[in-house]
Amino acid sequence: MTIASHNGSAFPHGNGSPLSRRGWLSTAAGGLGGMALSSLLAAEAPPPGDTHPALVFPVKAKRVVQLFMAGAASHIDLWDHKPELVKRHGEESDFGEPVEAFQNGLGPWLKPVWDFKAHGECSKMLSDAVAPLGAVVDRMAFIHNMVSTSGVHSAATLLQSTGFILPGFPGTGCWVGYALGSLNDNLPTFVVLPDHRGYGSNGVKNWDAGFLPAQYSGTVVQPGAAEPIADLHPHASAQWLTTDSDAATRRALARLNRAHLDGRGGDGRLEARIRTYELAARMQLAAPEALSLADEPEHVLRMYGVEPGKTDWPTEINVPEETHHFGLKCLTARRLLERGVRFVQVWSGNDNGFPRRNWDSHEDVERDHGPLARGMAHGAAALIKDLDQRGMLDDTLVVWTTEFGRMPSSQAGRGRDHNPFVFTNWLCGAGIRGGITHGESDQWGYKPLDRENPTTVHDVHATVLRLLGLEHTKLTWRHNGVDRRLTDVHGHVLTPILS
Amino acid sequence: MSLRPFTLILIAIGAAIAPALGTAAEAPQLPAVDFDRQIAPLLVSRCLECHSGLDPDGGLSLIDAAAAAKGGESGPALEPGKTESLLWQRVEGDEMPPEHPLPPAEKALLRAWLEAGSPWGQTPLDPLAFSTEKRAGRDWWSLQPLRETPLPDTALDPWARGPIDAWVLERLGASGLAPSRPADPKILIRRLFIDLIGLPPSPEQVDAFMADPSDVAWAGLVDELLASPHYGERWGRHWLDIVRYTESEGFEYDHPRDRAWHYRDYVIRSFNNDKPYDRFMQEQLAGDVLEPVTSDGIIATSMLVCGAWDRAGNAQANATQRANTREEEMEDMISVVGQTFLGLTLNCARCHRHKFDPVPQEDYFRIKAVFDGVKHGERPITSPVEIAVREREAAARTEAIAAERTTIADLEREGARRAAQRSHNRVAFPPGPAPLIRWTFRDGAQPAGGKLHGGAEIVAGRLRLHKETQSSFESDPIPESIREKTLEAWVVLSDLDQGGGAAISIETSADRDFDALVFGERQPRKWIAGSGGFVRTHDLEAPPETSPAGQPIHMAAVYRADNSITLYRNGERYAPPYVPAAGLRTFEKGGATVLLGLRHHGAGNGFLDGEILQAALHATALDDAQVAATFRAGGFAFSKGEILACLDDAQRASHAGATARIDGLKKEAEASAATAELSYVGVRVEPPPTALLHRGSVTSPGAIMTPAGLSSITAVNADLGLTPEAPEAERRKRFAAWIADPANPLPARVIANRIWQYHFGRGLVATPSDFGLNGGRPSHPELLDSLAGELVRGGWRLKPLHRAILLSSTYRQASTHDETAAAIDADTILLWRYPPRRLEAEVVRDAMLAVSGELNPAVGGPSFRPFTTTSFNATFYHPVDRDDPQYNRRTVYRMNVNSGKEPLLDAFDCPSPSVKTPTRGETITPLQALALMNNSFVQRQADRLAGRALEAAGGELTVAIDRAYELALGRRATAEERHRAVTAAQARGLASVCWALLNSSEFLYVQ
Repeated sequence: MTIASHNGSAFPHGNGSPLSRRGWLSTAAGGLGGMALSSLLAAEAPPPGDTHPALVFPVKAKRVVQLFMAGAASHIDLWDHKPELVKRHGEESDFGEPVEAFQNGLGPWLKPVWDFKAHGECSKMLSDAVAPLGAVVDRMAFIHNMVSTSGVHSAATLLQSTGFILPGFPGTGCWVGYALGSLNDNLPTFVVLPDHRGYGSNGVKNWDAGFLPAQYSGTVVQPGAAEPIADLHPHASAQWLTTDSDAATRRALARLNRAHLDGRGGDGRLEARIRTYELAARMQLAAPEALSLADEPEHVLRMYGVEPGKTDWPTEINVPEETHHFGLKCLTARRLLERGVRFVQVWSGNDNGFPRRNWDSHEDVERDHGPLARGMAHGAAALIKDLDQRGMLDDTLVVWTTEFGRMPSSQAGRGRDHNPFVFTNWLCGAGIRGGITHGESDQWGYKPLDRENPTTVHDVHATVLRLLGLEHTKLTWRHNGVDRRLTDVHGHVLTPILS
Repeated sequence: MSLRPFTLILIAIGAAIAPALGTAAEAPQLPAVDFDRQIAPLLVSRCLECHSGLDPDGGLSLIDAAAAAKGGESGPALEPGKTESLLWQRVEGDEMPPEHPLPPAEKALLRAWLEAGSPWGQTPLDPLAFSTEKRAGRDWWSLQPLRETPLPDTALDPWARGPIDAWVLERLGASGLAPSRPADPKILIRRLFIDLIGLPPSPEQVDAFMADPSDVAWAGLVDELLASPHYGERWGRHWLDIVRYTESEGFEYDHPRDRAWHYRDYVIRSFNNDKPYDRFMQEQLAGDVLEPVTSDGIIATSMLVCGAWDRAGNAQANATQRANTREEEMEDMISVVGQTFLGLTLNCARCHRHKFDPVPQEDYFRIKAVFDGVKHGERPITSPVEIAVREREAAARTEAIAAERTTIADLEREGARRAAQRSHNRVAFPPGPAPLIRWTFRDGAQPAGGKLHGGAEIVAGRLRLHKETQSSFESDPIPESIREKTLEAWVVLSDLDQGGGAAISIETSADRDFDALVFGERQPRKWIAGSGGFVRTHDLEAPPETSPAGQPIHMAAVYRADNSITLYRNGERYAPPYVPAAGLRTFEKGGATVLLGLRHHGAGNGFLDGEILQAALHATALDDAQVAATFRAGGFAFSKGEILACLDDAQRASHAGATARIDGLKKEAEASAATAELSYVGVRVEPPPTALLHRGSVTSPGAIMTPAGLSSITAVNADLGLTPEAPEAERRKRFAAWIADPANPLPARVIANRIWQYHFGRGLVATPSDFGLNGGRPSHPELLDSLAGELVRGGWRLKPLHRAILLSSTYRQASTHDETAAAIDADTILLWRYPPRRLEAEVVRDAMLAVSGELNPAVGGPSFRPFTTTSFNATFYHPVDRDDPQYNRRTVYRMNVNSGKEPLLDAFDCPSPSVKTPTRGETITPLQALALMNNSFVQRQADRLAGRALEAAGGELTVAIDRAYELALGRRATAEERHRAVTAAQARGLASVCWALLNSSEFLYVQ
């Protein structure tokens, strides 16, 4: 008789079954180097059917890059053209219903700060602040009727990053890593490139594995920093650890661990630990190579607006500096995706501070959105073009999001208050029908035109998973009595935007 | 997915309707259908999941005859005397139940009932009465009273030392398994130490036990460790995981909770003192209202609020969203109570009846009513008696300070009078430009054009402002609208380290926007032009204020039509003009007032400590020369020095004496405040009656709910005898008594299972916070009930339970792998060996400190903070590794903040503090290897271990290597290991050998 394990399957609900070889292998699959571990350890090769049961659709996208604008980027000033606002500019705002705003920012109607012009064959109207994206607009699908359930930064950011407004749920990239595993043994599956000034609202909670095993957490990489990945190399204080001695010491450790393993042959964990050191060593070589720009030709650096080595930026926020930093992250993202990283999350803007260095333009849209948007659009356009010319755009999905939009009425004259009632997302690349707009906002950009049928983050998440070949209702993990999903109990795949 | 529970449920449902099916199949011509025995289970398990409750599908409820006759959207389901009713049509056509048509036997039974005229029995039917394949009913195993089962025959086996072994052996035997041999003593002692106190044994302790590994010595060791203060640190940490204990508020702002640690110490103390678990539960639910109220009782209730809290969500202008935020808060509270004590996910019943467990939505809101008066925040944790004493003392001090101030004021008035007389021949400066309004102060008179607040007083012709009593002056509404303007004030700062107060401010009444001359708010000792939301504020490049205390300063802020703002100090520009992003604000006639000493209304830190000699509001933007003129025109003012110089020696002495006495009293007050300690135990309000919310929506309130217990636990009356308006203290007190009632089967089962889980790495129920349908069934149900029953009978003390487990043969088995046994039970669920496991993150860190000799054993008190913070609107934490004894305390004393993740702990599955974590993950990743290899903390401990070993060995390398092995692994190096280690140490230093030891599996796993 066999005692049924709580986790007989390779993709267990809840607690792993760490003691058996297959058991722990399955929990490691998808983690950093999980695939390599499986093959290294496989006296018994992993059964061919050992893929996540949610993987039921054709795989359109192999990897994802998510661009996240922290602070709530204005759909009205960037993507969602509202001629009516130009016409009514300065008139007292009248929404035709009582409005519950976040900070009562219900001043007169405020027209978009920048003019809109038609771009591409699809003639999509784009703001001058994001004009560089006009060159690739025929590959992009816009969703102008996104809604959030919270007008508070932290909750709404969590909703976008994890599908829930409360902390404790795994980030989107964690779910993807759990479901699909790694494409490269030597690099993390889910990489986060934060704003160089700091983390956005909720910080690490946006890419934390929550109740999923810790190995699915996003790994923070700070391009251009002295130590881009924490603990990648020995700390300077340990002078007895040099590159040479490191290898010898590691061999000594492997011997120690092997001796310990003898006689404990059934414990796959102990064998796995030995492998993790080999993989860590490989990552020490692979990560610096992936993050170095030395082999990028001059014209590529120029395309991304990256100026390596430049540090003497002006103190005031400015376009070249924003372009450099966002471009550096986009270029790094491309290099990581090329090398098999599954999910890269690129952040623009940090948490609320003073002076403002994010998209939360309560006081002055032009002051903050101007440099941020121009920098973002330059880098994003370069990334899309670059992926395209390398043939990677066909199986790489680019998703642009932010926690919510901004009001069509003014706040403090030149600013805009939070608008959780409607905002914009766009997707581009793998499996996406380009040059289209799905879902509209009303004449002001205040709420969806069709209030009964808005688009939610769960719909976008379900769509992203579908493009990765996954059925979102089947991608589950049992936690505290509930089979949790990225899409909670919601989500409909947005078939109109699929190619 | 797990097949096991599903199978069991099929058996359960089979049992529930088996009699019905059996009879129906054997005798289709049923003489009489027994509704209660045959039809009720059928309807409940096949129909009522959707067709009952507040919002039944299709509007149809089938809970009784009337509801069925009334029917739903498609019409009546049953009609008298009509067999071919709508109900039958849908069932016969296999439309209902959707996707799972009734098997023929059940159809026949239903048909027979309809033909008999559908006679109903006991109604209304309870949709939660029976367990089905889809849900647990009231008959679910964990809700039934504890059962006592006679011991099996295995109790007579010599291996069995007690009931635990008897039950384990019985299950092993039934599966063709046998227990493993006893573990080696040096393995066993390390297992015990890590398990009970989270630290490895010293080489001496290992030697002693190796010398005498007898049962008596083992029992002695168990008792010794249970009595160790480290026991509470280790087991308290488990509890803190379960109740999501966090020391920062999380969400957007994530501000630190500097005073939350009292609860951590309370938990550790409770474990160490073996506080009876029923008392432990009650204190955490209602300790602040259980007589006699003690400090510990108040602290215990932190459990309700020690999770994350959404400051921004609570502060937003949108009232609906604010109410939603509160509902989320309540769900967090209810879920922690339900999961921790009852092992039930009550929170799943917030929007609808629980999908899997017998928890109606009403129960959720009844329990919400119990806790509706609990809110987040800090409160004194001093007992009421002590508070009363302190309040009397504080009142006496306030009175004494007031008396001393009168003395000082009288003396200074006299001094000022004399100074004025003497200065008749002082040169008069030409008067400056005339302001719109000027405020001056005359002793003995109410100030013209405004009112004093909060103990502001007029002394020696000056407005005297005390920050601690929140004093200020507010003018009458301004007589004309102002756009361009100049704010001007002569001010004395009593303390240059104060911050946030304004000399003068102009504020709108409607939206509380303002312009103000503010001191020390954003940069210490500097002035700024403050404004609502800082929209017209810049930090200024200006020297910090150095004027001696008591010296009057003239400050002016000029706001020009071109939107530029210029600050002046003593007639000269304080900093270059600047143009803010936000435009110039118009202050409307009658719609604004001028404040002296207060930045703006509602600013808690906005009060100035000092004096205003005079102040003015100009309706024009003065130029440089005009500001200089206003400064010169103010030459009338006397400094404190001049005033005192006019007094005689005796007067000066009495002035100095009074000043000193005030200082003394203030210090006393501060010291007293420091002992009247606050902690994050939450605040209490008397809540309005609690309404059920349809679909959990704050915009759809329903019936008022009475605070009560859980209706599906039948052994204890859920009715707490309360009304919806009952005082909030009474609600929690009675609910706590309901939870802790010995007849309530869940708490004892849940805690016994948790204790088992932490000893063996897995509970008898594998889902320790979920004993519902989605949780598991116990692997050893009789054993679980036996442990739970013994716990209750033993007065709810946990240490005897530990002892019983640790003395068992089951616990003392070897952990050796066995291919044959693993083929039957790979996960060691039946305990054919002791399941080896990895150390938790905290134990990894603590064990490293212990073997390196660096562990600082200090117990309790404020947490150490291994991070720096930066703070704008939110607080940001930047982990740092410091080589300093205060950071070498046990990890349980680390400030447990939400966003300051520590790479080493993180790599070892240390959970986010605000997440309820009943079981830890155990992952193995290359990032873990990187952290162990390269983290500066690990490297430092390796270095210190090397130093410690060398010192103990008198510098003899071979001996030092043995010592390092003993310290880290509890054993000496083998000859081959020693040989290699010597070579390695000679080439790369002993630290590299120690580093390998700390990285080794042998160090990181308990066998």
